Amino acid sequence: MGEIVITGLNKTYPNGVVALQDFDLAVADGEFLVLVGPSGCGKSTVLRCVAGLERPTSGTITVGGRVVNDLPPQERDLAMVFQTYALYPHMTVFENLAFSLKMRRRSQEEIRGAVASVAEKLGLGQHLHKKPRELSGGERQRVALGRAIVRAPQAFLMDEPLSNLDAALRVQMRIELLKLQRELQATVLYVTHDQTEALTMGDRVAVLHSGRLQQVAPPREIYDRPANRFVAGFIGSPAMNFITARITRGENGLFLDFGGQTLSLPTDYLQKRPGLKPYQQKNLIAGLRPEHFIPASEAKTAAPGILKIRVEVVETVGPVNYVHFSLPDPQSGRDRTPFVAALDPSVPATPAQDLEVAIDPDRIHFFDPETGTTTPY
Amino acid sequence: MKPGVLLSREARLGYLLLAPALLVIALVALYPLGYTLWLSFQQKIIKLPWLHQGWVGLANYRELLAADRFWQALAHTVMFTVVSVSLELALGLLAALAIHRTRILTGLTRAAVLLPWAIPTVVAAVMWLFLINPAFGLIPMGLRLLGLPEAWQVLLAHPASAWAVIIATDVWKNTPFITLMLLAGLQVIPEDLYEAAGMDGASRWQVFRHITLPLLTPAILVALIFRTAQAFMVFGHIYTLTGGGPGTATETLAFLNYQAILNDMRFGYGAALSVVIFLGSLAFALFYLYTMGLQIKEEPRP
Amino acid sequence: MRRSGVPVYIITGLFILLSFFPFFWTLLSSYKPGPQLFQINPPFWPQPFTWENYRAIFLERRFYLNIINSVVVAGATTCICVGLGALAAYGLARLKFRGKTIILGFILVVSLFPPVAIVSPLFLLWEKTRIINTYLALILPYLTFALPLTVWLLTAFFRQIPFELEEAARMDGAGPLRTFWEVTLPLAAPGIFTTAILTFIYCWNEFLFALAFTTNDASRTIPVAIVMFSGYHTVPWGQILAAVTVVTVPVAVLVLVLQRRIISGLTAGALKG
Ligand SMILES: Nc1ncnc2c1ncn2[C@@H]1O[C@H](COP(=O)(O)OP(=O)(O)OP(=O)(O)O)[C@@H](O)[C@H]1O
Ligand SMILES: [Mg+2]
Repeated sequence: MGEIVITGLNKTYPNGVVALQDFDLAVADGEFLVLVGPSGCGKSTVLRCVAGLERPTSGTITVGGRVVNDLPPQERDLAMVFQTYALYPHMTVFENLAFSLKMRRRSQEEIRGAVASVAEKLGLGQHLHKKPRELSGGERQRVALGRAIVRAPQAFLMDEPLSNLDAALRVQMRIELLKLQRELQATVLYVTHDQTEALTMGDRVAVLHSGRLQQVAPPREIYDRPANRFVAGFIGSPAMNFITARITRGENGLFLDFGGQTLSLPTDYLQKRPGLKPYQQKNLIAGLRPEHFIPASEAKTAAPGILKIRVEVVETVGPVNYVHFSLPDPQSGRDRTPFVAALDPSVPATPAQDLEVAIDPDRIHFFDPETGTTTPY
Repeated sequence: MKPGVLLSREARLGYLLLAPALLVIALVALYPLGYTLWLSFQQKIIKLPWLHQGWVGLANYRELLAADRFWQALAHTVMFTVVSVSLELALGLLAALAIHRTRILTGLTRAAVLLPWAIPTVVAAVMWLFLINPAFGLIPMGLRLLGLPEAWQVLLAHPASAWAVIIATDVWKNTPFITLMLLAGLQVIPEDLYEAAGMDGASRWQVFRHITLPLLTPAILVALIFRTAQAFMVFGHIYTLTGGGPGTATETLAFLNYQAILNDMRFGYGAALSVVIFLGSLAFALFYLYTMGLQIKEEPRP
Repeated sequence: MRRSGVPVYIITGLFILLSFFPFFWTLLSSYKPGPQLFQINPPFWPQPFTWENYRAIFLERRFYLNIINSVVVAGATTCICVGLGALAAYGLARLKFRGKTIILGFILVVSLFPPVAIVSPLFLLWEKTRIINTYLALILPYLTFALPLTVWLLTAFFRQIPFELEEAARMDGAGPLRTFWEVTLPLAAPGIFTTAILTFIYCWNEFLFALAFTTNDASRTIPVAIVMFSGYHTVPWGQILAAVTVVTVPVAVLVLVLQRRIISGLTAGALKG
């Protein structure tokens, strides 16, 4: 197993689309790194450059310490799992699994042994003689995985390998894939546009947006300390609520004004978050995660963080209710900004009802209104 | 880093792969075509070797454009193309709609569609020649039963009926091709569109007019273009059925050209006629390219 | 909503009947003895049934020579075209380089140009090089229409093969040639086969070049030979019909067996081209 190091990667397609700019990323040996971002942000491009299927405009790529820029794909010793699986339709499962070993001129015996052990690991034993079209989606997915692991490559590249599975199977395969990776101690660069997948699977998560890397960090940190407004909004579901806010110092303490409401902040708030000091009396963007709202009645301290809202729509999704409301936000260019709060179903909420919700001030994120970067903590 | 190395390597491989085919096409098509152009400015009459042979400038073209026979052949060709292609399109559409509706696109129907297409044009023409033989052909026999005057039963003796035979043969042979194209077009129209239109209260005619026809247009266009190009070069039927007769009443451009070259052995004059026909087809082909422009634009690779 | 009415069945039935009837009548008539053939109001069934016409075309006219000519010319042209065409089409379908659209357009234009336009120079050239009446005299001009056709069809077929499969093979360690051989070619085989059938049929049916560049009975292809059966004064209808039957029956069998392939070829070339 080897690490993948990408430095200064740029990719401009012949038609002028700039797909990647100054992209740096290192996947450590044995690490499961998830590259996540919205559709069209350049994730596949990264993978294809590493694989050698696309030539970088500039930049260096090393695999296991070896610069691979000028090597064709077949000499890079990487395995790729495609979103569509790309199983060879004219070969049986056995032949699909054996293909890469055959290309490496391994002996018949060795091939049979390797295929058998992979087939057993993935539960494909009774399907070896079948053609791909006779398999279910999940089985095809396994064959695609098996084809990648059968020859123990330096690293794995996976491009949304689970996105063609139904929801239940996807969750199950997530776990199986992780188990397999732990067992093989494989280096994996995994691409997805699904932030849940990223958070649940990655040792680290790299967030990509418009061809630029936004943040690389372990899932917890990505969630708790997003580097900027884009990451904050992309990670987490439903998405974080954003609104223009202002920190003001009044006679009897510190306040946060937004959406026509005033929240009082603990007096030591700026001591705990010194990065906010320069923003006093100035506009900044506040970010509030839906799941951090609680009913006012459950707030531990009486005064801080109470919002008076009028419920507009209630979505029931089982364990929580998504309560939609809106707050006035003239600075954003719209009259009102929509908000979502994820509240326990035991909290009574019906449309047009007035409700009081609270949020812990420590859990509010702030972003610079110009640059969108998170204010220093 | 040498950006673009892969691209140029890929491009080089691309040109390398294309080179043999393009070279062959250039050799067997472009070179003779250039030769034709050169010949068209020459006097070259094999049967009359004592005449001046060599450069005559535009004389061949002048003679051609002054010849009534040329203008007549042009008119015949256009008439034949317009009439037979429209008939084939109308009948083909009717047949395609019917077959699509009955859903009996069985082996039998498919073979019925393919067989006339698959046999040589002149073989089809010979079969029809047998069917219209004035003495023992089935068609004159039918006409006799219908009480048509004796004089008209020699179908190839009158310009109008000779054309009717030529067009009928062409329609018989080529309608199946159009039917096939249109059937393929019909089969890719999703069934739920019809159902949705039905839910919206559209009548059968409205469904045809507003759903089937617009969605079928690309298939119609393709079939039309192929057939028009082919019909414009019609030669085999004429040669086999009428030999251009009675008199010169069924001469088309390709037939006239063939006569000029291989009957009269006038290679220069024939070449001038070829150039004119070629320019006509080129104009048509460019129009075709323009129409089909969207289809041949490279689709981006996923 | 889409109930089928009676007229629809009548149209379909009529269509099938009209398509088949001339073949059927030809077939029956080819077994009729001469006098019956030329009778006013001919009988429907041959009586007696005779093989005389078939004997005559094979033993007296050596029609088998024409069949061999047609098979050789169409077969050789098809092989050359599929070989060259597969290379070109792979490049056009898969590789990125400038001028592809122009090349495709050029190929299309060539396929639409009138064959008669090159008859006069080729006749002179063939006379001069003395290759008139040889296979080469037909194979070369046949390439003008057959090669564009194969390139065009094969490009459409190659485009249908998911590019990812080839990328997967590259990742699995196969070089470009190995990928072409192990993945692309097996997947393209049905398309190549279809293309070969269509090309063969087009060459088989060609008339103008075959008429222009052959001058004796022994070197003619089937369509020309059949047309040339007629003498100045007599038309040997029985033999003509027998010859038509002989060449149509294999085509009919081919069409019945390979109908799906042929249709996929015709529509791939035209609709997706
Ligand atoms: N071969 C190509 N030629 C030109 N532009 C391309 C090509 N491939 C991708 N692009 C463009 O580059 C950008 C990044 O594409 P990429 O496929 O890397 O996105 P992605 O993040 O994988 O998206 P998705 O989640 O939809 O797969 C897109 O704007 C896309 O349109
Ligand atoms: Mg992608």
